[in-house]
Amino acid sequence: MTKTLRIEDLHVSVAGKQILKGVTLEITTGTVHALMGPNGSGKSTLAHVLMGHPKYTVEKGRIFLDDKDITHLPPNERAKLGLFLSFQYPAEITGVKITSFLRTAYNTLHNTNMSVVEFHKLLKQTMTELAMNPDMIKRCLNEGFSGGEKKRTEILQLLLFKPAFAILDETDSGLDVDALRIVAEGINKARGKDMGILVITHYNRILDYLAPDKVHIMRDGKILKTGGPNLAKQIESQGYEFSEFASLTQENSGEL
Amino acid sequence: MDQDFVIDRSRYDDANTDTSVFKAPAGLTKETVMEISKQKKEPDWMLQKRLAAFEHFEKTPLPTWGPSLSKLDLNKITYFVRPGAKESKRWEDVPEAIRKTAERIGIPEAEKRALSGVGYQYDSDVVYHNIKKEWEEQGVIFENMDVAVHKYPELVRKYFMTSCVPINDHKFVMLHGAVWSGGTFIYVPPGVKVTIPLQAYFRMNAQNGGQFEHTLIIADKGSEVHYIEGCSAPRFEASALHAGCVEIHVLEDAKVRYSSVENWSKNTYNLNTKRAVVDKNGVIEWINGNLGCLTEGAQVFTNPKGPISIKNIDVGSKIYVWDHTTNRIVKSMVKGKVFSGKKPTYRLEAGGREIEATANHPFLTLTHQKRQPHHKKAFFQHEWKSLSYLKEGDLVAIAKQLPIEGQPFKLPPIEHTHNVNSRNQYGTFTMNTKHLFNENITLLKETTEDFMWLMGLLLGDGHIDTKHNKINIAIPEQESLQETVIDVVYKLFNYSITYKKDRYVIINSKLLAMLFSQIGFGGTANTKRIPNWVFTLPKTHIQALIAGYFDSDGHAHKNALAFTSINKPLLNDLRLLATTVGFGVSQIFSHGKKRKTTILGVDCNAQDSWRIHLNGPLVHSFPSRSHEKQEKIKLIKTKRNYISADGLNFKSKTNEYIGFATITKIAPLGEQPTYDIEVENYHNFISNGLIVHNSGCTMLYPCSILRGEGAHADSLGIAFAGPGQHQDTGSKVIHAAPYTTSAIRAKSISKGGGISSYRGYLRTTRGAQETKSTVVCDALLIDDTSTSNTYPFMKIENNDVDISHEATVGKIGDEEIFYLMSRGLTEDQALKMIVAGFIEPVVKQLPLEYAVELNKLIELEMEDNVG
Repeated sequence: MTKTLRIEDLHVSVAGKQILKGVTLEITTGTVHALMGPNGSGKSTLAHVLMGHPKYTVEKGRIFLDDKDITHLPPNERAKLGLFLSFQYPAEITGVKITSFLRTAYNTLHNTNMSVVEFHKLLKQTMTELAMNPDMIKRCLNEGFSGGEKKRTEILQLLLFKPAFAILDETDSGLDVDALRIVAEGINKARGKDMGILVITHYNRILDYLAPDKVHIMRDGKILKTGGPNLAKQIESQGYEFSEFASLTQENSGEL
Repeated sequence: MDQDFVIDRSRYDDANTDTSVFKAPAGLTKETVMEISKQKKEPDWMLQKRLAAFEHFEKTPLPTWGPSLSKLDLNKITYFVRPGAKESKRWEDVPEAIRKTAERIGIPEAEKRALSGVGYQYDSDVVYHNIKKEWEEQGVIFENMDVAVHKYPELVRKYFMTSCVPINDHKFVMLHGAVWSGGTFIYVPPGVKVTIPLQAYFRMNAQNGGQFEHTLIIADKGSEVHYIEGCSAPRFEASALHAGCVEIHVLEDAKVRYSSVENWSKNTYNLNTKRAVVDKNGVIEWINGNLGCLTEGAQVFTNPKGPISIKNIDVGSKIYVWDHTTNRIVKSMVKGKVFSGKKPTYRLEAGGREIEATANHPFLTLTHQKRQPHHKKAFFQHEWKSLSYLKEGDLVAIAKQLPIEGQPFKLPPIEHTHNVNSRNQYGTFTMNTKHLFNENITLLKETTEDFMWLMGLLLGDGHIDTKHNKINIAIPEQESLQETVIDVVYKLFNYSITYKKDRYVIINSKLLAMLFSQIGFGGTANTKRIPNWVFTLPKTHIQALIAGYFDSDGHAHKNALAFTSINKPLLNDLRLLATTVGFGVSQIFSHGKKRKTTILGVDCNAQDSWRIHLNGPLVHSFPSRSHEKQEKIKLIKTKRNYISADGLNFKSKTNEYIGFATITKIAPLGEQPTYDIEVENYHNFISNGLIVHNSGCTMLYPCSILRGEGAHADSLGIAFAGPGQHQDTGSKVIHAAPYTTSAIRAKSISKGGGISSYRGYLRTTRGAQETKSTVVCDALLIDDTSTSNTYPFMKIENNDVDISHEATVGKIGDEEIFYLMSRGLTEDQALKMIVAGFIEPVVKQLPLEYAVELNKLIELEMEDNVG
């Protein structure tokens, strides 16, 4: 069954500063959307707001998962409804073993009680797919991880939790060529008709692997242009200041 | 002028018919000690040891010493000794809170039974025996302490309460030495490494541990052993006191690890002495999970509100504290207050002051230091000691006067409308009451010495009759004082007293009657109190009030100003007030019992009456206005005594603010609600005129004495301070040999206003060159209201040492919580997971079942509804 994540005219501020100024976006399961835009345009804010970070205030607008208004739900309830955020900078949790964290999360999200042995099997298999060092499971969650290890651990969770909607916040940044390929392949394994993906990125490289259905350009808290995969290519060759885009910005700034 | 003095109690003996609550109990006698030994069929040397300990115990100056004796009735002691005298307590009798918690964390049935005191058979005898067999083949001895005395007399004789914790170490140890019972004896032969941790758990079928269990561990050369203390389950004991003793001898190259998860049950507490002596290249490791602590409650002097009950004190209040660098009393601010639950408390009396505190509450004392080779003579030294380590005759610090920058009190305007609404059977009407007020009276804006003297008279023997709008002050006609009163009242209010009657001077004024009542001088002989604002006045005003009280109702005793009243609270107010301006004060003691008597020819029923004495040098500059009494005051002898029970002079430690008084009494009071406060920049405060430390359990900390070259001590501790708790943990290490090393790691978690403190004591002796010590304290604060403190104390007696101390305080970050919540965990689960991660380094040192238990306990503590 197709699900829809709908963002309606979202206005968001943090510490009194307006960041998102009316974002509207709709993602259905089975599609991949890319969100691009210059630094500070509000991409990461959108990712955090979708997941329900308490730091951000929704001033106006709503977020729906199908018909359910999730604008004010706590993060854990959104997660249970099928939302997943791959963090750009995942938190390091001292002393918490990856295995016990993943199993707790897995059992909570899937409302099940998988045994340690069974889960270990699943985990080992999934880690192999991501070419992860099996010794990783002995370590504590993100503690002392390299940038690449952190990203892989995020995608490991994507594969394990199989959410309905995944927001990948600059998952590609900080990865070398090989790591990027492995992570992208991992994402492709996870995706399918039951998962919608919003990829936040600066680069085309990951999009080459993921082949997004739609590309959105964000600037100054708004989505200024939406197009097909070609739009991303255009930006890569011409930058965000290419003529068409620049004129768009001007038109819009007139409105403001 | 010298103002230092110690109240000499003997001079009150003539008046002292004190029927104190506590009499030396018949409980612990030499016969009892002998009986214990006989019951255990002990060899003579052990009996002699017990008797020697008892002798030390008895030798302490006065036999009314509180905590231990009071809790020790004969039956209790014999219970732990006489075989077959099983406690009849059932699991069902254990308090519900403990029972529930135990059930929730899934304490094994065996432990449940053990802690309920119901005899039980260990279910896994086979397992136990197999393990035991393995040990025995290696020559490892793991035995009940009582049995060990018979089976291994040479070892026990050599190590039991000798070089580690000698029988005369301190009061509790003496008591312990006399009545110890049960416990664990472990001997590991040279070179043997015991791979499985030894746990008292395996031994529970032998005998329950008791109040005075003794643990003696000897790790012979090159051996290794890990011992885990008792069961971590809540030990439900009838008695609040647990005076156990743990002695660990780590011989050359040996290694001992001692783990305990203890004290989490909030209604029990331990006064265990835990100590290890470590020989050359030996290693001691302490691992400790600690959950629960103690505190007290009393009157605290605030500025400007005067004494306030500790339970009513507000965070942000200014209070008085002792500054050790200047030896002065200064002001500081209350940073936090915690309710510590109902705790067994004791009353300590010294220098006419008294305070109620828990046994672990530290007081400032002077201790006598013997002459050292590098010192010219013996000397006194400040030291904080908990109540349980104090005895009668010891010196405790008292605040002789507070540096009050008092201000005159602004007197309220008296509303006096002359038109009063009244009604009769015909209806309501307005009545003019102008005739009731004496219009010529002038009212003061603020208090003066004269005014306060008059208030003193009122307190002593005055009465405000608001119904008839008059004030009676009893002063016999023949005394010149009557004229003085008339003068003062005229000067103050422009009012001439015309009405005198026999023994009374009478002021007929509704206005003054209203004023005096309104500012708190109303009430009857039984209900009068000194209003709190008086404590904020300039000293001269306070002295004037006391003089007024004295002139109307006091008398000059041979060496003090004496005040007698049937109103004990009033005398207590007076006593507190007198301490603030520098008087020496006595206890409130019983003066007369309820009886039939004849007063001025009339048969009366006299009520119980009480008396208090004020003395000290101030007596001779006392502003009494009664000529008759002044003559008698001149005859008062004030006595100053700077000599302690040890015969040494401590004058240099005193000044006009700080004095020391001998403890006259320590008596048990039973359970009371207790509180503690946290003070900015200081860790002490002045309560009831005594200088007391914030609560703590300093003496409970494991102590390692590194006496052989290359010895090492490791201490890893964890503390959880929940709402209303003040967790005080720490470690004590003495480097007494060269090349010794120590590492102390303390982790604490504070939540819901909980305060966790680390207190470390580190000492390197003169000969201990090239010693190394690292202290790391990590604190985790769950919320903004919780606190973490670190108090490292180091005494370094040589230059060749390498010591590092670091403390980190972390608050749980929003990003960590958000991350975990984005993976489906609730906020609560997220918090618990982070806390579990924080304590992981401790947990992973524990065997599985203890780790699981500790984790569960922490999780329980994290839940709001458990407490």
